[in-house]
Amino acid sequence: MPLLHAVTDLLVSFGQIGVFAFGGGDAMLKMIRDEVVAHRHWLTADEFSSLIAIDFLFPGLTAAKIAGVIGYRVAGVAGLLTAVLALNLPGIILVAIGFTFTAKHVNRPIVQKILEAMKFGAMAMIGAVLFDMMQSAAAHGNGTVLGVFLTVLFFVALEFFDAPVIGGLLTYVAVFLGLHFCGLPI
Amino acid sequence: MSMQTESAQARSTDELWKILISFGRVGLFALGGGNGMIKMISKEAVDMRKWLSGDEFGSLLGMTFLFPGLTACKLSGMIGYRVAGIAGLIVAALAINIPGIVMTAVGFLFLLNYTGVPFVKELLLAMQFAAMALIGAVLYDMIRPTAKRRKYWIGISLTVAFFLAMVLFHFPVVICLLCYLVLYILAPFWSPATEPVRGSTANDGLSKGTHP
Repeated sequence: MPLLHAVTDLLVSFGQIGVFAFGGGDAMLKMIRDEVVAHRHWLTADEFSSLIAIDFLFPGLTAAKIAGVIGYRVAGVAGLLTAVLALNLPGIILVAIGFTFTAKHVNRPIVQKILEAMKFGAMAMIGAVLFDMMQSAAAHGNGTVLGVFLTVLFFVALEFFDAPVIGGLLTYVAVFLGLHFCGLPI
Repeated sequence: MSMQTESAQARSTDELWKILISFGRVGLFALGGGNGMIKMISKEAVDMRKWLSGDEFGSLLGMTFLFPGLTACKLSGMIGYRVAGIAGLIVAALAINIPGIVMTAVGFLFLLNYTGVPFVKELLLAMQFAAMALIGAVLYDMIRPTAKRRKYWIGISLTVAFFLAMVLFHFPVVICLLCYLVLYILAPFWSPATEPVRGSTANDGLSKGTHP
């Protein structure tokens, strides 16, 4: 049965990500991208990047939204529920099991070191997914230079001029489209 | 006897509704990404519903970071579990995620249906480029406060090696991550946050980080 097969695949893919996703939600994006684009081919590299952008427009956690959307695309509502639960239940269950033990030891310095390791690991992973996205954007050829320039402007606006995320994103897209339809190579 | 079971059942259905509504609200209205969600969960669960005390929330939050997964979901699941067992866990975990997923799915899949239209094709391309700025901003926000850790070269080298292993050598992420975590934790260096000081608990605001 193809549906059962698809649901099992979702369970395995997102379940394993859910078990090893130390370091927070955006760090998970690298694992999700490798699994979903490179391994399972549920999204193309371009679709993955577009999905990340569009998800900033809506409330919720990026990794969960991506999982849910892919789950739905692969196997409908059953797929959506499987993907979301597979991604989240491992962590929740582990917390439920480990709660009393960890609560006793959480003030030791070694725990702070573990948290620090996860934090820096997360940075490396976010850097890696960013790198992947840059590589696939570069593959677009002629539009790249202007696109990169706009992207840098958007980044600067976000970081140094407190640009709002949603407004900034919509403005970015409007400018991008405007330049394109004016005939510029973008 | 049967009246008791009926009222117990009514009570737990009532609890499940409350979980659905509270966490659904968070999933629908939480602004500010992961951190905004955590604040809103606190308002719902601690202030409004009184499902747990502020202290309990704080210690739950602090230790969920040690486990894999999304922080807001772990919190929701644990609170849901406490209130209404496994059913509560599942309802909470779904309620917080479904609103955003549905909205994103509608938007994204709608667009994908029209990739033949040049406007939509260009729109998707614009979004691909925009995504880089957004993720770049997320990364920058994480790196910026740690700038003063520059001199801890062991940690930095390990992190760079981890990055290169993934990006240059394409080793599987999970394996790289686990090796990295083990090496980092065992490596004999301590940054100011983790310096074992007698009698005090190290705290450099790690719990204020951008853990979604």
